[in-house]
Amino acid sequence: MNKTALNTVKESEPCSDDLQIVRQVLTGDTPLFGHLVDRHKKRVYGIVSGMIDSQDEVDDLVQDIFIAAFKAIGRFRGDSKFSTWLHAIAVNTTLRHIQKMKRRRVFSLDNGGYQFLTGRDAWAHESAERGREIRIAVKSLPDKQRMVVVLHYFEGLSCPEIAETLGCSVGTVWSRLHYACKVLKVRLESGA
Amino acid sequence: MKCRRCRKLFIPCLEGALSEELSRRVEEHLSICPACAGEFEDIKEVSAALAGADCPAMDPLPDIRDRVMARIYQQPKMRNWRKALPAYSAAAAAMLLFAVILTTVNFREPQQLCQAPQKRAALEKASEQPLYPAKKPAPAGAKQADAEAPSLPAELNLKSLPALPKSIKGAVASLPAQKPSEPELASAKIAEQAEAARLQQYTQVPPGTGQQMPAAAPAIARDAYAECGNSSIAKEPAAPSFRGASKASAAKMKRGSDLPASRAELLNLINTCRDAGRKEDEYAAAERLTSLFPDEAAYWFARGQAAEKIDKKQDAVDSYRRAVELKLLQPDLDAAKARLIELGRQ
Repeated sequence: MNKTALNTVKESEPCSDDLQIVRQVLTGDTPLFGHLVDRHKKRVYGIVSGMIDSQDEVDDLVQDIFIAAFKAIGRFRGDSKFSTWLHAIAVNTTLRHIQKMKRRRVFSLDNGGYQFLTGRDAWAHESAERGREIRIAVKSLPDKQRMVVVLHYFEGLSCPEIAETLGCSVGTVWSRLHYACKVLKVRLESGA
Repeated sequence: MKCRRCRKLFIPCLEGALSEELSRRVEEHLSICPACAGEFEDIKEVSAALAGADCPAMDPLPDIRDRVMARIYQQPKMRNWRKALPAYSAAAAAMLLFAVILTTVNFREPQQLCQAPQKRAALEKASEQPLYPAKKPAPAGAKQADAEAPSLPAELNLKSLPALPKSIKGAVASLPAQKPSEPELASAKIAEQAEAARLQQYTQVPPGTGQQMPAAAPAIARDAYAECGNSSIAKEPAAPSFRGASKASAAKMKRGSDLPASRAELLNLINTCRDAGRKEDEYAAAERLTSLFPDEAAYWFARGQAAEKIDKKQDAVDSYRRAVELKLLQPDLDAAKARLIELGRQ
């Protein structure tokens, strides 16, 4: 583990609990990483499930995200909150997974077009009708706009937090939200 | 405020992230621009719908923590590339060395096979060439220059050149040696004269004449040493008289103790005595020679001849027979057999 990165963690961080756990994990107390999993699993599940419909894929991807965070925890400099750093890993991992799944799409003779191998849509049917329509409309958005919408409206992150998570400017987040809303307006009025 | 500028501020305006001044300017523009106002209403509606939509996230697996921790514990120990770098470098170097060795061995053997006849031919060609270039025909009066022709150094040791072919060694050995100095020439001359004087003891004066030895050889030797400035040798006492020497040598020769031990001296003595008619001395020298070299057939043949001269027939027969047994070479073999037949008749 990187001890220099550990030394750069400031003592007066607002999220000192996460930093203390990270510090202990870096010193070799691996089981404490389970506490970080418990603390952030819901938000990570929200990010991933907002982008992917398959329950199995979401479960596997969430595990991959936490494993990746554990492997890269030595590079956590403590410049931002641990949650922001973990959300960035979740976003990048999810977008990478979606790109990989897009490359594996196959031609389906049943509906006469391309579709993703996304598995079952049972979770979407269990949601409310309006919520299902919105989710389906959001699903049609481009990945980057879709991720911004999920983080802002579904997960409740502010625009500056989204900008920090995505590594972009706040103006970029505002712009993506603006265009996403315009597209969703059209899709929802046309019945998506 | 322009429409483009105002539309970029719709989302922060809805989020309440604008300052009061910007919010007032946006509201002023929306009040005078129906297009921007309509778009703002659409975005506000969609934003409200998204914020209030019932889109709950998936419930996390109850054992997601255990699964993650189980996978962490199952992960192989993370490789420390800094620690493993020397090992990987050593392995790469070993593989590279092995590849170089393999390449060298595979390509050098056929090359050596191809070059072997060429190298052999080059060596043979080099052995045929003289070590020194042939002299050009010297002009008249250049004999002195020829005498100063390059010669091998005196300290050149042919044994130190084991790698040279035999032909080259022979050529080197046949080259003229360094010109000896004057003292060396004088010493060689003295040695030759001393040897001649020693032989004169047996040749110049017939036995039993009683003449005084002229002492010529010692005189010559003394003169030669005197020429070299070797006064100590020149002051040597005079040589003994021939008579005394002849008597003493004859007596010693009879005992066989004063005869020379070297092969060359004995052979010379036999020839000298044979020419001088000294049969006893010839036989004594031949007997001495066969005692020293009993496996030489020619010496036994000479002894047989000498024994016949002094009427030692039995010794002559034994000597001839011994020479024949030792495979005497022709034509002495036929002569020995003829003598054996003749002696057998007698």
